[in-house]
Amino acid sequence: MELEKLLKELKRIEPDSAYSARSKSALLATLAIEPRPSLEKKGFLSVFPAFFLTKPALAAQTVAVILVIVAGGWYLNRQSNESLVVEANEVNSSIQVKLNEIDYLLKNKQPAFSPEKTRELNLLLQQAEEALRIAHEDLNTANLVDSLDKLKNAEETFSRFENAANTK
Amino acid sequence: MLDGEKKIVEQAILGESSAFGLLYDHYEPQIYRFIYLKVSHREEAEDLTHQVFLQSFRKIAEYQEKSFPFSSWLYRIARNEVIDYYRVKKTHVSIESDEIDLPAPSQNSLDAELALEHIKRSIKRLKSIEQDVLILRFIEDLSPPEIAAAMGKTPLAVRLIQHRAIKNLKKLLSPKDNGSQELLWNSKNS
Repeated sequence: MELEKLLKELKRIEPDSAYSARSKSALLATLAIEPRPSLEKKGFLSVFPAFFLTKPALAAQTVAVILVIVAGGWYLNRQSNESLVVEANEVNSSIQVKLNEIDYLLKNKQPAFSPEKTRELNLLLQQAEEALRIAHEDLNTANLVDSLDKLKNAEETFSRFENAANTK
Repeated sequence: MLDGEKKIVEQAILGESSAFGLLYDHYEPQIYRFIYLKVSHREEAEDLTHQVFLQSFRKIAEYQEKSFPFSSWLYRIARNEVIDYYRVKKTHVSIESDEIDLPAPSQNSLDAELALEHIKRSIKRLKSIEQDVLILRFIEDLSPPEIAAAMGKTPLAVRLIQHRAIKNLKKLLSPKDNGSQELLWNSKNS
């Protein structure tokens, strides 16, 4: 029999259904009595736990600082891969423009946001921050392609933020 | 990928238990299978699988949907669980004591079952990283980029490991290298 077919046969391994049901019940029960997933323990929230949920404008400013750090990292790598660095600079500039717009939106529209909208926006900011942080880590390990991907992820997240902030 | 996964993950991030349930139902079999093939022990695999989901649900806000697929993120947690399992317990599972049982075959021939048993034991003799790539690529059908995300490698590195894993597995499966009695597969796959 061919090797790949043999490997596919291993797909027949499955968990015991009684175990699966028990495990799922236990998981859901555990999660029900715990605080919500670790939003409060991650990213900005670990630094600004008190005001993060009510002051996304400050969080956006912190994202801008991280972006400067990432841009600096790319600058240090400018000799290694010119085309990637050019692309990264373009993405950086685009993010910077978006951040300026977000900053404006938050300063002028935030009072009108519902608590749910604020939470949604904070989540997006958190995701962008995480992407930028990983982009920075990738730069430290000279992983330029991955770093650029994360930068693009952050850029997309900021676009989603703008859309979310502009819709009810 | 689970239908509407993006939305379901977002709901789970917001603490919706039904969303956790959907993610669990969809991914639990494959995470279990991955772990089971790595630890060769049903109860240990069950415990580790439970831990993987508990951890992932607790940390789900950290998951970045744009970075890589949710399944890759789960496999990443599963890999770490297995690494910790071997590190902490310093468990050594010898090839002879492996007890990987499959459900009764539906229509497979005895030869095929023997071949399957042989291949399971041979996979266990590969390096851990080669096992991971083989399982994720050929059993779970993940793409190289998805595997790369799960393993913290580049897709190119995954392809290289895959090539090496297949080569080593073929070597282990050959009667000459294995001292085994039967030739269990043909070389069409090379």
